[in-house]
Amino acid sequence: MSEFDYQNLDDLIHSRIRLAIISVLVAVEVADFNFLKEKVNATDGNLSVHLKKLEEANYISVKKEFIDRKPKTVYTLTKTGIKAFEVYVAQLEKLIKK
Amino acid sequence: MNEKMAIDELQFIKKIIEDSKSAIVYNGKDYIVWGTLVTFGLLLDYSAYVFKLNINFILFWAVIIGIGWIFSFFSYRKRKIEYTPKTFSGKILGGVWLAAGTAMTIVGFIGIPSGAVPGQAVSAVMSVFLGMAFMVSGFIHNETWMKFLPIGWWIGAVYMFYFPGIHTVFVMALMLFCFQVIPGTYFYQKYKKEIEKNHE
Repeated sequence: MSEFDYQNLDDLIHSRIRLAIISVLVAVEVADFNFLKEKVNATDGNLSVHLKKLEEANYISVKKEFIDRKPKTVYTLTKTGIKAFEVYVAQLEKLIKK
Repeated sequence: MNEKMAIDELQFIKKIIEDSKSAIVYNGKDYIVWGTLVTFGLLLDYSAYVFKLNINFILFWAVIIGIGWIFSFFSYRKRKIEYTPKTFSGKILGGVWLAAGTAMTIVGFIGIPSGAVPGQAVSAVMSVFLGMAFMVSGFIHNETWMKFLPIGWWIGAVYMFYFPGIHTVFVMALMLFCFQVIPGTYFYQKYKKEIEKNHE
């Protein structure tokens, strides 16, 4: 069987930009907006939209903090997000093994 | 989705993860600064003994260690402001060195003046702490050669426990240079290469 039922794949992660955001957050525990923007190579608006989607799905958590009296928004993967990523990767690996 | 697309997707994930991790490569500056400072202090300490110079050792070491802690504080502050990305391993590493540094400071500034720790054993005791901290660091940095550094520290500690004396100050300075300053320089070069790669 070479074709895979892509409907089993998580739609939220199965988007290049959101997958990239989650992958960055897998690599680093906490990242701010600018770091994500640089790594994902997205515009502010585009990144904000996708971050919002991931936040609404409870895949990432958002925290606003003040560093040196400057506001900074930092993002972290939630347990749900980690689990979703693991499942997604496992599905891809399963497909390759077939 | 077919097999090729799945492979592409996994490669994409791998690339993003590697790229993100390269942004948080350890720069080795703490090893270099602390190692150089204490090596310098030990050599001066040794020279002062050999040439019978009259210096206040407690004050002298308070200045040396104080400079080190000030450097670490500002370095932490700079990282906090500039580098938001954090990793779990980075937190462990920071915690291990903070604990080792605090323990060594207590031994040096409380243990010795109180008389509870004999001054001639201080280098050996510090080597034991450093070996422990370097062992954890070696596993976190995942550098094979670094996992052997603690053996050097602990062999040195055993030697200094068995053969105490002023010469241990010199041995300790040599060990600090070889087992801390040189590894620090290695990390700094690696960090510089990574930065250059990221700017290409």
